[in-house]
Amino acid sequence: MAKEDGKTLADVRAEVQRACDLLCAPSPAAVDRCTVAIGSAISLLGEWRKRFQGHDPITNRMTVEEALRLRATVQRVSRLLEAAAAYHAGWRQALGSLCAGYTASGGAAAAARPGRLCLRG
Amino acid sequence: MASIQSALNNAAAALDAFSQVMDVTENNVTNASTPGYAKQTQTLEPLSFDLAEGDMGGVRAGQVVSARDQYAEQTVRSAQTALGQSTQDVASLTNVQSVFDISDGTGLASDLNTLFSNFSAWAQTPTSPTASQAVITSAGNVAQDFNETYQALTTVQASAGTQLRTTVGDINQLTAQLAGLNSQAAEASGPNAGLDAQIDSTLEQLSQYAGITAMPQSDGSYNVLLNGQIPLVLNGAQYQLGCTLNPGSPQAATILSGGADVTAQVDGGQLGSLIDTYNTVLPSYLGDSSQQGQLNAMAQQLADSVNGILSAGSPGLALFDYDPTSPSTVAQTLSVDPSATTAQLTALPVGTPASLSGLESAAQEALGGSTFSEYYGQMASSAGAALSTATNRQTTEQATLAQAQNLRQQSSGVSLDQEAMTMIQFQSAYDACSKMVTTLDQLSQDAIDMVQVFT
Repeated sequence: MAKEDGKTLADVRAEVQRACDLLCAPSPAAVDRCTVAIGSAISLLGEWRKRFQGHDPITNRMTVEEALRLRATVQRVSRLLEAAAAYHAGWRQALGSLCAGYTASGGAAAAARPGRLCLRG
Repeated sequence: MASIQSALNNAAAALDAFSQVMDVTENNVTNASTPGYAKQTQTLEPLSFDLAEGDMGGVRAGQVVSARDQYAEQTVRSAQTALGQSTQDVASLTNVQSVFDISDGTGLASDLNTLFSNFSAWAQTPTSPTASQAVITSAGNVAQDFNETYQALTTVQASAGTQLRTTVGDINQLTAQLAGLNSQAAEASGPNAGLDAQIDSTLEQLSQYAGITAMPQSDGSYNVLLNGQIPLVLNGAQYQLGCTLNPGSPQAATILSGGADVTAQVDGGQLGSLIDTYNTVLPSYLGDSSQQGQLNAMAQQLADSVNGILSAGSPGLALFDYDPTSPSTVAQTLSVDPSATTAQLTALPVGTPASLSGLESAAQEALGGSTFSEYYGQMASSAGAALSTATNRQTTEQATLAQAQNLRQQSSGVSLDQEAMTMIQFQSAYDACSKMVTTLDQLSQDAIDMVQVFT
């Protein structure tokens, strides 16, 4: 049973690690795939929690170490997501100021979605 | 005739311009794997078209524009700074943790247990010379362990000090190099991709050592500030950093710029980590003029508690000795009174040895509710926990740096139109992912709460 506990957590960690790998080279498609990986991790971890809720604390060393490794990996994915989102938020601001200038309050103006105009005569 | 001449001139100028475009493209291909090289773009400028004035239009080569995105570069440099800091944290904390290694059953933790066992045995047979001798021997071992632990931490501190000086020297070497490159950039007739690559590579190296802000100038040079405030390089001038070490004072390491103390402005990188180790982590164990340090506090508490019990009656004995005038070196000066003998111990009033059983509980108040063994265990485990946190952070920062480098690669040469479209897609993808990560974070915390974490 103890071996199984650790195995489930290792499976969850593998999913979270996959999300980390995807976030190392973020593109909109990669972030979407990352959401799927995290969804899968949530589902596995939710089942694991249901199984052990209300029981005595798990003291198996392997499971405990796996839980700590999982926690570290979750913190990593969180940091990577924050860093990528902050990068693009900053870049969006820079783009805004490049394309649309500044607002009256001094902030970067929002970059308008590029449209296309076609005239036929 | 004049117009044919103009047309020929225009054609020649256009050929020349396109030839320069080819040169730039060739340069991009040749330098594809050169560290720090950024793709260059040759701009073409339209020529005036006014037949009345004889201007036949056409193009000429404009400036070579670097596609390097300064924003992406600064992000990579920030990631280098964070990685430099966590890598140095791991190195320094590994040294600290090895001093407190409790895994092999030797050293202070083990000898403390032996001392308390011998106190118990002596309480059973107060007049036994063998039991008394065991107490003297094990007390001597504990004192020696304190001395050795203090010495080992002092060695770690000396090593950190040497590294601090080396790091400041490395920073000065790199800023001198940058000042030289800046001078070359200022003297160059136009943009120089090779020089740009050298400057960028040097800036990346520098950012591993400390948090820097690099501001590009119109001539291709960079002004560099430490943490956005302290000048390191302005145009062709270098501003050197200095370092003074004064172990035992509240700010043991001081970083100087132009004679002024700029230690507080140093943030991140190897330098930031070393300053933290030297000024905060090690003094928390070793003490300085403003704090006693955990190791000294424990040594003094042990000595005072044992001496207090053994000296309570008449005759009495102060088994431990230390220099009371220097609270921050108690662990270094702790020793067993060399004149203490088994005869003196066995001559102590009846009941004195048994009083030693209350030693641990008496000390608990002074040690924040911990016994001696627990207090030492906490010192060891806090060093281990700090190392574990730093190791996790290092792995994360390695991934963050790889991410920043990939983002820089992605943003190079992308059109603004394309980028604006991608931003909208990113925004919704991040929003969705962020909600999922929040849920996962809570669940993984629940998992930690459900397991019994060993310390």
